[in-house]
Amino acid sequence: MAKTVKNIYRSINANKLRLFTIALVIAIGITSFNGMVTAFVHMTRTYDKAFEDHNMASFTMQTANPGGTGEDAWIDYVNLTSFINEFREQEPRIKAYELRIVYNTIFEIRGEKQNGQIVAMNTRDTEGNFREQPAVNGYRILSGTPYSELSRYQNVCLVDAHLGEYWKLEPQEFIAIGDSRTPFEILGVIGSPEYLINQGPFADIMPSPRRFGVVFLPLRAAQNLLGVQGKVNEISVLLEDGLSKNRREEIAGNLKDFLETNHDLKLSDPVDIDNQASYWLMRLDIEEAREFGIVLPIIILGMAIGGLYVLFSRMVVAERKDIGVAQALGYDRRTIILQYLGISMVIAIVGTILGTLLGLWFLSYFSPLYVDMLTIPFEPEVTIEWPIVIAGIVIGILTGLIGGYFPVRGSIQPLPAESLRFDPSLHITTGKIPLIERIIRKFKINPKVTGLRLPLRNIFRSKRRTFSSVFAIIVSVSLISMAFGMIESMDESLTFYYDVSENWDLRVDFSEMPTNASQIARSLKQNIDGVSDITYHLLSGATVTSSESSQKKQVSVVGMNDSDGYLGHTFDFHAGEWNPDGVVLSVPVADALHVGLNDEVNLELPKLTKLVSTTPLRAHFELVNITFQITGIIDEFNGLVAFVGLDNLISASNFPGEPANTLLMKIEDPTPERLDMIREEILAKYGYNVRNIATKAEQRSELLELMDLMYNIIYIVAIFAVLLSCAIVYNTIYISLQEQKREIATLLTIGTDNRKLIRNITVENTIVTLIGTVFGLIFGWIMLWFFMRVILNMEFFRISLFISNKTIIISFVLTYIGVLVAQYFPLRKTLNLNLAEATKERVV
Amino acid sequence: MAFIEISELSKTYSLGETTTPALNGVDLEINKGELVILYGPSGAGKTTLLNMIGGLDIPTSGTVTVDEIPVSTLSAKWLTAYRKKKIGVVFQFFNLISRLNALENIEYAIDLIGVRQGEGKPSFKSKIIRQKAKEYLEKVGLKDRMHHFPAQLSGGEQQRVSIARALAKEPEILLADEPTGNLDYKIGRNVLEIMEAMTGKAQNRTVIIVTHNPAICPLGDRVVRLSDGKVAENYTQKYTPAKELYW
Amino acid sequence: MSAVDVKGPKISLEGMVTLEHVNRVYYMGGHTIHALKDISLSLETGKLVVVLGPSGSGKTTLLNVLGAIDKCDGKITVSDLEITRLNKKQLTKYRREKCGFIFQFFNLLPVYNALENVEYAVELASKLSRKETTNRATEYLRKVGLYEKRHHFPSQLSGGEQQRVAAARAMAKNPALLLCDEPTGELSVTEGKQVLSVIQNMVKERPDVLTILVTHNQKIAQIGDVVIRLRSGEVDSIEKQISIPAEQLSW
Repeated sequence: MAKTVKNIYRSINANKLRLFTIALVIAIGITSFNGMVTAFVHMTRTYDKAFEDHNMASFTMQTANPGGTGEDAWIDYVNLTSFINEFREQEPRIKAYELRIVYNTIFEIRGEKQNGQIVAMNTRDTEGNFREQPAVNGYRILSGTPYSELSRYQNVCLVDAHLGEYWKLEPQEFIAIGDSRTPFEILGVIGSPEYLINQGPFADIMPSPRRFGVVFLPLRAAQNLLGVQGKVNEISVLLEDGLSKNRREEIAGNLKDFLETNHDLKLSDPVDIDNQASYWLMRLDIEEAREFGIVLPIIILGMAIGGLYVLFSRMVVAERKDIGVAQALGYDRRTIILQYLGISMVIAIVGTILGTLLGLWFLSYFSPLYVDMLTIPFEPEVTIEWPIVIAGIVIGILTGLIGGYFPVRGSIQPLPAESLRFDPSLHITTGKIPLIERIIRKFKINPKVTGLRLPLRNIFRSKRRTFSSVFAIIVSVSLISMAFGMIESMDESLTFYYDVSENWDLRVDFSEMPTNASQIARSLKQNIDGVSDITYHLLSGATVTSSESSQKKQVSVVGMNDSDGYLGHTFDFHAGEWNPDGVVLSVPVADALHVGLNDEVNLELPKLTKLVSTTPLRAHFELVNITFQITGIIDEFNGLVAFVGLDNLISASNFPGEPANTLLMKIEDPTPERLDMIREEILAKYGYNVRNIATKAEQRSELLELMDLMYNIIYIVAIFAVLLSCAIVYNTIYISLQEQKREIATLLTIGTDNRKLIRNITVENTIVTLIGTVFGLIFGWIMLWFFMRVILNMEFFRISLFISNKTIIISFVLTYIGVLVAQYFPLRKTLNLNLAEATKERVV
Repeated sequence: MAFIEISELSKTYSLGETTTPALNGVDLEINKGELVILYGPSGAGKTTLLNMIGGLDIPTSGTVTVDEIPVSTLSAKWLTAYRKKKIGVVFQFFNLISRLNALENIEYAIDLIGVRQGEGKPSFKSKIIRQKAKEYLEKVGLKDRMHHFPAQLSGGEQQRVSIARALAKEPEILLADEPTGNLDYKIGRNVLEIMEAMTGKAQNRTVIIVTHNPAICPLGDRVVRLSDGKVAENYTQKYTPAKELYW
Repeated sequence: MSAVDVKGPKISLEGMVTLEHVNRVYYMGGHTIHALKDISLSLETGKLVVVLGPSGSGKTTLLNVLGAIDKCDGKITVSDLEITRLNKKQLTKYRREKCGFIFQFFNLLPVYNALENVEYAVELASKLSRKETTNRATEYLRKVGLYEKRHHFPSQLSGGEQQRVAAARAMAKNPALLLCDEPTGELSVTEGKQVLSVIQNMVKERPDVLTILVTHNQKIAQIGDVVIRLRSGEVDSIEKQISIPAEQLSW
C-alpha cells in the first residue's frame, strides 16, 4: 500500500505539468461552480436580509384610481387610520402598516425633465412622535441626512440611489417636482429595497434612471404638492413573519372587503410581496443568473472529464510497460486501476481545492460587481457556503473518478505479455490510406512522401488519436467562439435594433401627452431645418390572449402612425407584413400563445371612461378586449411588443384628439453636432412639454451600461476558455509526440532535418486545428444557442444569435497560438532525442 | 508427474494483419529444483515459452501444468494469483519501475505477499517489508545504492535489483529472460553468479534462464534448445559454475 | 584464427572509411562506461564487414558513431569527409546522403506503405523527379522480392518482409555506407536468412558501398568478407574470410 501511494506520488511528479493542466481545468470548473452558485446564494440572502431589515410590506393596496382626482383616487388619512385600527382588532397578524402616497409625476433635474415617482410617508408615528424611518418599507440613508422633525414643514426630499447615482446628486441640491415644478431640497440619497430594480412606465423595456426615478417626500409636503391635503392613495401592510402567500392574500382580501363593504372605499387589488416588481424582478434576475452559474460549470467540468479521459487513455498507453511489470509481479487489475484512480483523485482534489479557493476569491470580486451593477446600496453578505463547497468537492471528485476510471479500465490488458510486447506506434496506426487522401488523389493532387503526405497520414492514422486531437481543438474553439458569440449576439441585436428596427435619429418624449400630435409634427417639420421625416406613436400596455393557449402575455402596444410612408420603425418580418388594420406580434409572444399568421388574438387595452383633465392627463379607465388579426410576426430585440395601427389604438382607448407620447424623426445628415443643434432648437421652440430628446447612441449606451454584468461574466468565460483549451491542447500534442518518439527518431536518423520535421508536425497540427475549428464552430454555435435561448431565456429581449467572422478568426488564432505553444516544448525535447537509444526502444 | 509439464504447446501472434507462429507444438518436462537453460536464436520462441510458464501469456493450444496447476486454462484472476505466489521474473531490459528507487522496487514486490515470520500470517508492516527488501539488496551487493533510482544505476546494477525483486517474493520458480542480454560479459557473468548463489540447489528452486548465448548453456542442469518454435534438443548435464563461464 | 595485429600504429586495411583513436565514454548511474577504447580502423568499400561481439562489447556504439547518431572523441573519415568535425546540420546531410540504416526493430513508418517508405528515403536524399523516385523505389522493392507487396503497410507485413523493406529503403538512396544493427535480431531463422541474403546481394551489386553488419551471432558472422571481433570496447581481432552465402547458413 505504501508503495502504491509512493508510486502514485512519483507518477504525478513525473507528469506534473500535464496533470496540473488538467487539475487547472477542474479548478476552473469548480471555481465557476462555487463562485457563481454561491454568489447567487449571497445575493438572495443579501436581498432577503434587506427586505426583512427594512420591513418590506407583505402587501400593498392602492386606491381604485391612484392617478386620478376623484373620491376613488384619494382616501382621508385620519379616517383610514381608524378603519385599519378597527380591522386590526379582528386581525392581530398585522404587525404594522403605513399609509402613503405613491404617485407618478415629472421631475426636472438640472434643467432636464424626466418621468418619476414620488413616495411619501408620514414623518410621525400614530402617536404623533417624530421618527426617522417609516414602520413599513424602510430605507437606508447612503449619504446626507434623514428627515428631521422640521421636515414635514419643508419642501425636502430623499432621492433613490439609482437616480442619485445617475445624476450624481448631492445634498442641498434642488430638484423640481410635479407639474408645478416645485423645488425640493435634497436631504440625502437612500437605498430602498422596494426599488432595487426600478420598473418604469410600461413602454420602457428597461428604464434608465435617466427616464425614470424615485424620490421620497414627507407626506405633508407631497399632499401640499399634489393639492390633496390630508389624503393618501396607498396602504402598505407588514404582517407577522412566516405567513404563506395564501395566508397573506387571504388577509389582504379580508382587509379590502372590510374597507370596501364597511367603509365604502374603492380599492384596487392588493399586490403581494411576491408580485412586487422589485422583489419579483430581483428573484427572476438571480434565478436566471443561477441557471447560468450551474450550466457553465457543467460544460467546463464535462470538458474536464473529456480532457482527463484523453490524457489518461494516452497515459496508460505510454506506461504500458510498467503496468505489464506490475502484472507480471502478480498485481491484479483492481490494484493497478486503483493506482491510476489515485492519480486522477489527486488531480481532482488539487483541482477542487484550487477551484474552491479561487471560487471564494472570485466571489469576493463577483458579488460586489453585481451589487455595483444594480447600484444596490446593501452590503453583500459574503460567507462560505459549506453545502455548496461540499457539493463542489463531490462534483470535482466525481469528475476525477469518471475521467480516470473508464480509460484505465479499458486499457489494461488481461495478460501482462501483451502489455510488455506493446508498440504504441502500431497501436496508433490503422495502416490505411485516409479517405481524404483518396479523394484528393482523384483530383490529381498527390502530395510528396517527404512533404504533405506524412502529416496527412499522421492525422488520420487512428480514430482514437484523431479524435483526441480534434476534441482538444473543439473544446477550445467552441468555448472561445461561444463566449465572444455571446457578446456579439448582444451587440448585433442592439445594433440591429438601433440601426435598423428603430428607424429614427431623434426621439422626443413628451411630459404630458399632447392631443394634437399631427399638428406638432407638421410644425416641427416646417420650422426645423433638416427634419426629413417625422411621425408619432401612442404607447399603451396590453394583455394579449388567444383561444389557442391559456397563456397571457403582458406587452407594450405601439400605435403606429403612417406619416407619408414613414413609420419610425423598420420591421424585420419573420412572417407576414405590416397592416394598420391588424396586429404585428413578436416571435416570443406568438410562440407563447401558439398563434401564427392570420390567427386572431385578443388585446386587453385600457379604455378611457372619464377624462378629468387632458394636461396633465388625469382620467379613469376600464379594460376592454379587442380582437385583432395577426398580419405579421417580427423577430427583433424588443421581445414583448405588439404593433397596431394608431387609429385602431386611439379608437380602442377612446382618447380625444390626436394623442401621442413620442415623436420620431429622421434627420438629414445626422452628425452628433447636428443632432445636438436640432435638439436645442426643439427645446427652445417647444420646450414647455418636452421631457427628453434622445439620440439612438444615448439610448443604446444607457442600455449597455445596464448590461455590464453580463459582459463581465462573458469575459470571464472567455478567459477560462482560453486557459482550458491551452491545457487540453498541450496534453494531446504532448502525448501524440511521445507516441511517435521512435518514428521521429528514425526520421532524424535517416536524414530528415529538423526544419522539415518541425514543418511536418506544424502542418499536421495546423490541419488538425482547422478541422477542429470547423467542428468547434458548429459546437460553439450549439452552445451559444443553448445559453441564449434555453438558459438566458429572457423574453423581453430577443437576441438573435450571431458569430462574426472576426470571432471565427479569433477563436482559430487563439487556439492556433495555443497549439504552437503546446507543440514547442515536447518538440524541443523530441529534437534533442538520443537517436541511438530512441531508434532501439524495444517493442514487440 | 514432473513439476512442470508442457504438452503440444502452440502460440500464434497476430500483429496487425499478419500472423506469426511463435511456438509450434512444444513438449517438455522440467523437474523441481532444476536449472534449465532455454537456448536458441532470436525468433525461436524462447521468450514465448517462458511467458507461458510464467502465466504472463496464454497459449493458442496445448497445456502447461505447473505443480499440478493447469496454468494454461486459468482465468485472469487465478493467473494473477499464480504469478504472485509462484513466479519471479527477470527481464532482459530490467524493467524496473523508473519512478521507484532500488529499495522501493523490491518493496513493491514484497508488498504483494508480505513477510512470513514463522508459522503465522504474513506481516505487511512497512518496517518489516523494508527490512526484508534491504536484506535482499544486500544479497545482490547493492545495499549502498538502495536510494538510487533506476536511471542512476548501471545496467548490471539494474539487473541485480531486478533479481533481488524477483527473489524477494521467494518464488518457487524463477524465470529469467536474457538476463545478460544487455550486459557486458564480466557484468553478465557476475549477474549469473548472483543468480546461481541465490538459487542454490539447497533452496530447491526451479530456475529457467532464456539465452541466445551458447556460452551460458553449461550453467544448466538441463539445456533445451529451441528452433523455429520447436524443441530441437533437450539434454541434462553436469552443470558448470557461473564463474567458470567465458564468452 | 589468423588475427591481424591491431595494436600497432599501422592498419593493414586501406580504404575509404577510417577511424583514428576513436573513444566513446559515457556515464551511467555514477559509473564510467568505456564503450569504445581507442579504436583505429580502416575499411574498404565493396565489402561486407561483420562486427561481432557479445552484448556490451561496443559493437552497436561503433555502428552509431559511424552513422553519426552518437558522438565520440577521435577522428572518423568517410570518403574524405571528416565527420567528427561536422556540425549538426552537416551531420544530418551526411546521414541523409551517405548512410543507409537497417535497424533491429525495422523502424518503418507505420503510416506509409512499403513503396512510400522507400520513396521517402529516395526523395529525401536525391533530386529525382517524382516518377524517377517511384521507379527507383519500385526497382529496389523488386530486388528484395517485395514488388507484389509494395502497397502493403508495415502492419500487413511479416517481420522479415518489414526488414527487407528497410533494406530497400537503406539502399535505394545510393548510400556510401550501409549500417545494419542486428538485422535478424527479431526474426526467425528462415526470415533472417532471407534478409541476410538480400544484404549480401546488395554488397555484390555495389562495390562502391561499405556495408557494416553488427551481430552477436558467430554463425551469422560467416556471411562477412571481413569479421571484426570486439570485446569490451576494444578490437579483439580483424580477419578476412571467404564469405558463405546466407542461404547455406543455419543457426
